[in-house]
Amino acid sequence: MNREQPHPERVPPVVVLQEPSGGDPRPAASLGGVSLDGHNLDYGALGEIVVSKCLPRRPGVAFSDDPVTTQVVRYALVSVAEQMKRSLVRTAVTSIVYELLDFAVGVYDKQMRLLGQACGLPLFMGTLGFCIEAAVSAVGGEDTLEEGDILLLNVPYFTGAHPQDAALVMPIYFEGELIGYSAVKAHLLDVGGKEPYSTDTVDVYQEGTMFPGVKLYQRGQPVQDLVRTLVANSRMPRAVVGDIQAQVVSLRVGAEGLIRIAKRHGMDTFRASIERMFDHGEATMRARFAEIPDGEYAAWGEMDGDGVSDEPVPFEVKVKVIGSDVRVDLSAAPDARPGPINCPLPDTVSEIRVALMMLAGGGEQPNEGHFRPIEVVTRSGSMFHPLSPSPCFLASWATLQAMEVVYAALAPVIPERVPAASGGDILALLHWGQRRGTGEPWGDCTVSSVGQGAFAGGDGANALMHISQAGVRSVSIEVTELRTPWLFEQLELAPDSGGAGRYRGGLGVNVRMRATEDLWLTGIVERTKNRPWGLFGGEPGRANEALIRFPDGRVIPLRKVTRLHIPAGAVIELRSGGGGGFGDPAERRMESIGADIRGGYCSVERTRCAYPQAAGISEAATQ
Amino acid sequence: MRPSWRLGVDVGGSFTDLILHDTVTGAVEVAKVPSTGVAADDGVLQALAATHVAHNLHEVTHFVHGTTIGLNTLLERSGANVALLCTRGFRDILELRAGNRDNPFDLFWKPPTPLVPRELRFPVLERVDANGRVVQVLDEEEVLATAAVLRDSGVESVAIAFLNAYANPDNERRAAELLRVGGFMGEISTSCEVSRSHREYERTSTAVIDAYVRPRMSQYLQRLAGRMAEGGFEGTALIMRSGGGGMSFGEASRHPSAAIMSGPAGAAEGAAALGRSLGISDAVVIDVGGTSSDVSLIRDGGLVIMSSGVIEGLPVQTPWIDIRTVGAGGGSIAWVDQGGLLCVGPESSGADPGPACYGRGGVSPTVTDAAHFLGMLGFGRLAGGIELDGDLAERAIASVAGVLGTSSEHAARGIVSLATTRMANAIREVTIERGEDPRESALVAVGGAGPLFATALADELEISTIIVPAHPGNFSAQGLLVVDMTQTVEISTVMPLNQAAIDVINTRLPLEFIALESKQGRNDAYAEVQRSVILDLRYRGQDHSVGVDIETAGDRIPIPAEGVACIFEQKYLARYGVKLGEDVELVSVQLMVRRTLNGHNGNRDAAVQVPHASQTHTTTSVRTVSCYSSRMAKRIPFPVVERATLTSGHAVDGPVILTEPTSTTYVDAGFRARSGGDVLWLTARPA
Repeated sequence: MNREQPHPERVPPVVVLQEPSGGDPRPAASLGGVSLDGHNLDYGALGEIVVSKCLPRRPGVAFSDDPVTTQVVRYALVSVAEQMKRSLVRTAVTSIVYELLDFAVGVYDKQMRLLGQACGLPLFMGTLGFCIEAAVSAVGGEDTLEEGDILLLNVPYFTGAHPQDAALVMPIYFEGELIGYSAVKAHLLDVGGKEPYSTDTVDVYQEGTMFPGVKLYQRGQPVQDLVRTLVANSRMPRAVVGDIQAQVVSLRVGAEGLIRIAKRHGMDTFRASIERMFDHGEATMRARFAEIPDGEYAAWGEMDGDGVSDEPVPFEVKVKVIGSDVRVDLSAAPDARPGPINCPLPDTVSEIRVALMMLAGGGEQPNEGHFRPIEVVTRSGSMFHPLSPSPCFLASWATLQAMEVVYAALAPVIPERVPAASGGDILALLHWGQRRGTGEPWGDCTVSSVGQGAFAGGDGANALMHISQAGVRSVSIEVTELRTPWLFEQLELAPDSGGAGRYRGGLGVNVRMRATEDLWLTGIVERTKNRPWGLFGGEPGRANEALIRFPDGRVIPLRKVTRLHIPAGAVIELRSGGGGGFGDPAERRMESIGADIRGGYCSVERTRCAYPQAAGISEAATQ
Repeated sequence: MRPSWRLGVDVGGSFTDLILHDTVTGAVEVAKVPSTGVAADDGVLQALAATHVAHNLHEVTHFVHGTTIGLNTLLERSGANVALLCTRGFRDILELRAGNRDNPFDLFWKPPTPLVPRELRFPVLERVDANGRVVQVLDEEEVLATAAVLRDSGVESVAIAFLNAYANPDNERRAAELLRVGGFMGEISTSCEVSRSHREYERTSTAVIDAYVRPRMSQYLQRLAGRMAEGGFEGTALIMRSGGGGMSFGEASRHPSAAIMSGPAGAAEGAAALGRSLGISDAVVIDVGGTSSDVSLIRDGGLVIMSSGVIEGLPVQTPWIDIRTVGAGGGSIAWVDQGGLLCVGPESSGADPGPACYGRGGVSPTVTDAAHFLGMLGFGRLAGGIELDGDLAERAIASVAGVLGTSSEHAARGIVSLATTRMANAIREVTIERGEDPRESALVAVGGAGPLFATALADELEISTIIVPAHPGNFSAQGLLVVDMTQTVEISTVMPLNQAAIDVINTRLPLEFIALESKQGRNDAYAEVQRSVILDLRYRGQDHSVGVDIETAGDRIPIPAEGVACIFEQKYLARYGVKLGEDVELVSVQLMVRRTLNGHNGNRDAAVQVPHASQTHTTTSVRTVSCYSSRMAKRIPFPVVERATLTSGHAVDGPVILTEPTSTTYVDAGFRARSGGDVLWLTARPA
């Protein structure tokens, strides 16, 4: 899995992000003070190496010595985020929010430090801080904010996502003083762009209408001109307005919650408690990081293609551990690609934090403190730090793989703490059309689970969503068949798809679905060219595969396609990847081998080949 | 006059609670004994033995039972050896679930092991589409062959769950017949019998749970009914449903999946009845037990009923009272985490050994130890003759205080305050999820430890009125006394809401009602049948629906489609604050038939009264304890008063601790306790 490739040492200037903002406002370029500087504000000029990290506690800041009140405040902050999440789910009007949970919510302090968050998708963890920073800076800094304002921002380079993922940011005031922010990022169905969802954009302008940090609400009132602009640029304005209203409800719940905590404990106690809370989060992470031997570890990932070309895109991830500090270096990654797999910096940073949080966070909900021991190194202009107008519609696909590459890099030194590779994708399909007979428009999406990597503690789980999408529920067959013209012919575990090993990789799934009417399809199936790696002698799992069988007999592979016409009678087959195995197959226990055959998780033939100790096994022997 | 006792018995994890109520005289008797695990009927009989009807069970006319037998069977994985018949191509519905992880931050999270191992999942050739059309006829030979395999395999129970069976159950029913033809003699649960809603995973899971739990549930009920009959019981016996209301022992034996959450449902149902009798339509109910606390909501006088629930990670598609559990109760253990912060729960000392101050060998500091250390439990005399040991409490608290580097006093306050915070956060999350504000609700505090936290919770949530019912520690049993006999079915019928849809429903309703009522069988103890219909509606394209109660005229929905849409939009506006202006879609029709207990006057009052004080108590001098006041943030003297000495209408100002056999009510400074009717009202004066 680790390919050797010499990598020249770089010692360029380092830009530290998230220093306390200050200094003069950006100089006016033209048109009454509006900057024409596009989207490349603060995250480093082309070629610059950028280190993203959170600052340690400032010396001299008031710090609580009360472990009880700190905990009460911490529980309350986690609960406020949870309340924001529930109010968003309750009021959202599209299933992509309330069912696929494509959102994140959180509350931040005045210095834009994460206090508490809840997310549908772990991959959104910690990206909201970037959104707040960029949105507030875009409107001219915190002094220009007023109570009741809500800012809208969807520029990918600041939100770390595609333009549909719109961040709304609300400053929170208590007794007239700015005490923090609530923020919500949620997937809006359509904000313009060449398609509602596409896999082949060549610049960001094809991806959606940009709102670069603007006041959507002023002093509690919607800015009608802006709302009309938003509506005028959406193919599905009603859904967009409905979900924005839901985001606003959620922001207000967050604001009320933060004010209640400030009031309950008083600002001084509140401030001192959150400082202690950050230290607590930091200590949790550091305790686990300190157990990792010092050194620099590397591993490679590879994207099948960038959406425009089918050329593989390999990338290297280096993880450097010094004491309890972890530095993840993605700066050797290729230059930004012509197709939309580039990951804007906030996405890259947050995904690395997610990966490390899962490794060392002990299941806690994160706050800013958890991120303190983590540094993320990127090169401005590369695929993990693209500059405008690089396309980035499929940003998350490269980062979700990068998460697993981090584990691969660390596997040799903490073998008991990381899994082998999973199927590594979600096999996302978006489909739409008009119902025969009624002509009624419909649209839907499906995602698939993949086998999970085996680990030192046991077999990989069969068929779960990728860890970056852990909370997402796949849509039920019966629900899909009710609202779309798909008829499923199969959806079950794929025997033999998990890699053999002392512990076996989890199984992927086999799906066969027949179109009973004409429809349109956009699909993203990644990791079809490389099998999910095993660890310590474990074999790789099955790679993802998808194909379309047309009624005329043509069969084409399905990787990244945009707006493909699927005629009635066509069949789509998905074979999702299995997890990699862990440890030498020869060490697998015979009981486990027998159970696999008994349940049909593995075939007799495959078992005989993969496990020397079972070379003579027969089905009857396992009963 | 012939005595007419009603009996409620709730078997919980730690205790079996009993309440007897004479509907003629209003007399009440309570008992509480430790639960007896697998042989839960022993506990029921032991509780009965402590009452005067022990040898006069013929005096009991109604017996309503809340049981954790179904729940425990799932928790312990001690159910039947179950096989599953499923549609070919879809063998793994049970194992695939929805692919999500319950803990999104756990890299190694694994779903619960399916109740049916893969080798016992038998795909058969058949297929029904979403419109109920059979697109692949059932391969009968295959089913017969499977029956032969099952017959010889030691399988006790079979679940049959085919795709889209909610839209057309014919293939499932035929497969069940064929299993019998093929000689399979065990139990059979078909998915169309347990649920008529779509979502294949949830419906399959429900059918499998039904098949899994049934042998144990039916054996238990048979044993219990037999022992009750030996004692002379000739009345009506019901089991509490997960979704409220009761069902006969016979039906519970056939469909135990409807009674999995039988236990916790009693307190919620009782609280709703209590609220109605007091004219309180909106309330938050907190039921604090030994290991956890249950939160439920009362809205417009009724409980929030969901169409499915989840237990041990397994979905159950059956009506389900929306009860949320927080891992913080009297026995929750306090500890210090890696980063040096104090935590409470979810680990609990359980019933055995229990909190350190119980003196049964427990050493871990629990919430009860902290409360006792702070004086909140008065002199520490609890139900069942337990005398709390202050030294043991102090020692346990000192251990955690040492790790924290703080005083025992500070640590104890922290433990109580954290437990309260966790309950308050849970209440906020549940109310906000419903679009409601806890400040507008009353707080009903029940369970042995509920009244201990009531005033602190009210302060935290800015709630101004607290209700503590009689016998708070036996409240879930008390809730059973007011249970009606109910039958419900929810039928998925996804279609646009228009007059044609209403007409279709109207043609189906009479037969559906007759089918539903026939499940109950005749029972003279219950009055005439009330029928009701709830339409689940949503805006087109949405997934979540809103239930709209429809007043039926006979068997018909008398309102035209536009009228129904209008009611829906009003309700949507009230809950979500917007009207979307989209077309409205019908998702499902819920039918309910309810038979009220005779002699209940059609109302469902909580008829239980606090036993009045004997005069001797009122003259004894009042003793005080030094107790922590959370409002004053320091210890002050709290008088300790027997609750029974408070006559109706009599008020006493906090600080005061009110004791009674099953619970202790902590009334902080600034609150006033008034005995009114049969309950205690606590009202806050501004802090």
